[in-house]
Amino acid sequence: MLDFQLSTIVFTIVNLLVLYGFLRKFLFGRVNAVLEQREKLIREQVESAEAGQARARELQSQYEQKLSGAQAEAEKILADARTQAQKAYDDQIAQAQEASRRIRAEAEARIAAKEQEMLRGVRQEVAQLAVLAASQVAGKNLDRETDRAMVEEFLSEAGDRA
Amino acid sequence: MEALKEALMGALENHVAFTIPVLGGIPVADAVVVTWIVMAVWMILALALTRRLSVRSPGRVQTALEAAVAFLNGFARDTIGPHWRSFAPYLGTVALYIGLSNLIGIFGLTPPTKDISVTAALAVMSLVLIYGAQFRYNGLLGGLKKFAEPMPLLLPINLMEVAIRPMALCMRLFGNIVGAFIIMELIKFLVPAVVPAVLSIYFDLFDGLIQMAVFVFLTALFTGEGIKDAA
Repeated sequence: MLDFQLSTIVFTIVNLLVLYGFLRKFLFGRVNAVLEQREKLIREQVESAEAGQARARELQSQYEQKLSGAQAEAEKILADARTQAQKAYDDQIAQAQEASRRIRAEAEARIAAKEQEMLRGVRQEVAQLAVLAASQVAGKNLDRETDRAMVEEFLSEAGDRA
Repeated sequence: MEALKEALMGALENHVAFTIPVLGGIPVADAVVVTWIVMAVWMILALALTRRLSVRSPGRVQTALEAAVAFLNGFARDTIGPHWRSFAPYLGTVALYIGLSNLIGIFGLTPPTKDISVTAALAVMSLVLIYGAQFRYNGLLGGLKKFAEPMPLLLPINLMEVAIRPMALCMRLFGNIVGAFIIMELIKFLVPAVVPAVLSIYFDLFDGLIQMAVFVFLTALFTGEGIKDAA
């Protein structure tokens, strides 16, 4: 029972070394390789995910910056357009007012000229009628130059007074 | 009673399976033949289980295998320290070998660990591993200094341990397996049916695995003791 046998000891040591070499290569080596590869894979994926997240955050801030810039620009354009439109409106209104004032002035001038002309015509007519009436009254012809001038003078005096 | 004694003694003898007829005949014990069977089983299993390993989509078998290897790695890391990487495969090999050797009695074969020469060989390997690591990772001087730790007074005890540790490893494994073997033989002699099967669960399965764990754990512990704080 307690007999140490050298051949068995040597055989067992050799057997153990062979089994160790075999299992190290084909069992532990392979499984450890897979474990390491998976660890590497996971590490890489976590790293890439973190990098992607950082990139996304950066892009987001960029977009936000751009967006706020665009908003400001839009507001500026809108304000410009509004002032321009206001100016154009004011110009138009001013032109229209100017035109209407001019037309009115012309019309007034024309009316005044017509009035003058009419007044002069009426005066002439009245003078003729007066001369006619006076000659009828006087029974003589008042065709002479002096008479007519006298009547005219009288009429203009009367007209001024009237 | 005499018959039982004779049968038991006969069962405890280490039979020689055959003799290689060179150098005056090299005897090959039963234990060595069964060891070859154990090795064949593990080699075939290793090749079969590590076919088609996948990094991205491990199957159920691969997951179990990875968990086992990760457990072994974790155990080696905790016990041996920073240099665990080169020791884990050896500890795993010894665990698989002793484990199946202790359990192979269930299949009607003689457990190799019932042969004291086999446990002696295992102990010699552990001795080489423990003190080889101590000198490999501390250098010659540092390895020698380790014998004077934690205090120089313990130098004689530490030196004696060089012999005591493997002796204890050898005898513990051998004694437990032989003890379980003898008890099982006695029970089989007294009650041939049912009871041996139930008790075999304790003496063959449980004790066999416990002794495997003890052997591997102590080897790792002693190795770690020598190199745990080595750079």
